[in-house]
Amino acid sequence: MTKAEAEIHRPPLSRAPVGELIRWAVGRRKRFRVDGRSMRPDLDDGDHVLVRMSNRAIAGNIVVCRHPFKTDVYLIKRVEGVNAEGMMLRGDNRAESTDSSQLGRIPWVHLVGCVTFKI
Amino acid sequence: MLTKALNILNQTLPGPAAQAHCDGPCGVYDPASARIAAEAGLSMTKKILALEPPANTDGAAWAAYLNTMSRYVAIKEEETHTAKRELLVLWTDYFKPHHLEAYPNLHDTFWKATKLCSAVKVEVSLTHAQELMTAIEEIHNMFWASKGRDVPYYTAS
Repeated sequence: MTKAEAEIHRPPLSRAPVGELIRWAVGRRKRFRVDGRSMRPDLDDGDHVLVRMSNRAIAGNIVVCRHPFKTDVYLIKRVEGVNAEGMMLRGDNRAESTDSSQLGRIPWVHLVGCVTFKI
Repeated sequence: MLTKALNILNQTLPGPAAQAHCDGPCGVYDPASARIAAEAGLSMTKKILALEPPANTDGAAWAAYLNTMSRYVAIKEEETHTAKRELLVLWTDYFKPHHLEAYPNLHDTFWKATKLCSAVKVEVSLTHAQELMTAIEEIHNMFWASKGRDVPYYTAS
């Protein structure tokens, strides 16, 4: 596993908050607010996360991407599977999730990045 | 201390929202909401085309004419935008990839219908307003067939 892949693998609850915050301060992370409960129990409504900008993700990552049909809307979901065209996304809390079961495969071009840290 | 500072930051300067919820957890969808809005757009188009400007230069008559015309246009704008939004919700939230197998023209029908919403909004076109109603009837038929129900299409006017 390369260093970049290892970084993508990092779970959302990083144990290196200072490093993540420094990366955010220097512009290497974006901050987003979680709106909704489809990612409970890991992420709850109102939580903030830091996102490492990326154009690829792997199964298991929590990612932020643009909604394929509403381009001013961001989604935060877990990657269930990937192929060359894009990724299938799922909410951890299936009862309250709009995801690839409705939206289909999300093309890579919509990916913003992978969640690396919950603030 | 760091946690406290971050909490204050999050409360005072929240980041952009990333949605983690369902648009319709109730699972209640019906193309009727789009049909009603599109029908209002069609009705306003007809009224705009039928409204005669005053024959003279009477200020009060022109004020009444412009007021009525403005109201027709405003309602047409609002209702066709509502129709577009309702169709997009239906398209993106209700219909799933497996529906494409049964209705291979699903994406094309929705794409044309939403483009027609824009056309009805931008123009004063009876043709496009009627084409929008036809497209919504197609969507109505696909929607209820996908649920295995025979629901006849109807219009309010």
